[in-house]
Amino acid sequence: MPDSSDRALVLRVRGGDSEAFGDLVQRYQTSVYNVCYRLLGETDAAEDQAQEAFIRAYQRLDTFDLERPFGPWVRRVAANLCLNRLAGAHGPVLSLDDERDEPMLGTAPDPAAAAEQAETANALEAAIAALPPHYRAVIELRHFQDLSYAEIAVELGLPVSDVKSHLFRARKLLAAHAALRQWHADKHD
Amino acid sequence: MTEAFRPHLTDETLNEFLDQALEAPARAAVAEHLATCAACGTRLEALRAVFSGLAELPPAPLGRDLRAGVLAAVRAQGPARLRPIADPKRPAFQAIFALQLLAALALLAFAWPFAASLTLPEQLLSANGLSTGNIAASLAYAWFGLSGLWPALQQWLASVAAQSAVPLADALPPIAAGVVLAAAGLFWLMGNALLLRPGPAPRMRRQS
Repeated sequence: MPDSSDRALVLRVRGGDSEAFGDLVQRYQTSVYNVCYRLLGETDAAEDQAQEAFIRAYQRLDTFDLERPFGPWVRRVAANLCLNRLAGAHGPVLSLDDERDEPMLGTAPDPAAAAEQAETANALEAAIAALPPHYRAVIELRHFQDLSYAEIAVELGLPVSDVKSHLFRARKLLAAHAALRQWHADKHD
Repeated sequence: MTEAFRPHLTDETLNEFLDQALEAPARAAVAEHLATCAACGTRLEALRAVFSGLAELPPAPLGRDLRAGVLAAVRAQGPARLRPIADPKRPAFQAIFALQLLAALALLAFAWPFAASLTLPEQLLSANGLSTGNIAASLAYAWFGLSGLWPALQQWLASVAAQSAVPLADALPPIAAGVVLAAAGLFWLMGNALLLRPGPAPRMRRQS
């Protein structure tokens, strides 16, 4: 029976068996899609970016360190793609002139609509999607990519103090979100 | 200190506490404060709810299988794309490689007489060990050698024009060897950069 570990699959792909990459896609496509969905907040765009993330990962497979797990690596590729897309669409992801503490309107789901879905996890997704892009970025990198303040600062080209400021404000917005409070209370009743 | 005069923890401290970003003494002090301060404990729990909510967020379902689209793009670019080295069978590769090799060999041949005649000042050779003074003297020597390169070359060209040329190796300062060797290395590296660059990424097309 062939070795189906991530490492073995990567080695097979590097050896010219591109079909083995399909197994890696199948294994990680949901988590990669979720990275894109949390950052972009749109299903179609997230699917496209997830697909592109895998293609980009394939092109850069020679740079992948076999001693490290494949999943976090490909999710990081996806996060970087989405951050670049956000930067292209909205200017710098971490624009310092966007320090307001209100959810961004327009491209993100309506917070009022999200509040109506208080008893489901969709409320939290909506709360995240309603954050300004630069707040979504730090939430994603800290809570889902598990990066430290310093690593996020390097990733986004920002001082650590700005990373902390954005992260703490983003959490404050999420904590204040009525839908999230209700959702969390329901989960623990 | 009484409860009334005890300052509450800042939002930043609470965040750093949950992020495990505090040093051990600060973390212990915060834990001690939280053990007796109900107000800060309530704020911490509200913040912790955000952490646990994010940690427990179920994955959003993926609407379509991405494998077909990814594999179509991967097949289109072929396994050779995985290697960053260009195809050595391509005429462009062979032409660049030949030019690179010729340029580097020509520069090495040109530099060889200078390298053979390269000498260092007596005070540098007699110095014992490496010191700041030696390094400074070496840099100054290299600078003066380089700064004299262009005038010497102009003088030699003038002598060629006057049909009284001396051998180039005698006309230029010894530091020219270093300059020419560096140029040879630069040619080599630039050639490698051209040869080893990855091919262009294929354009992605969504596969439904």
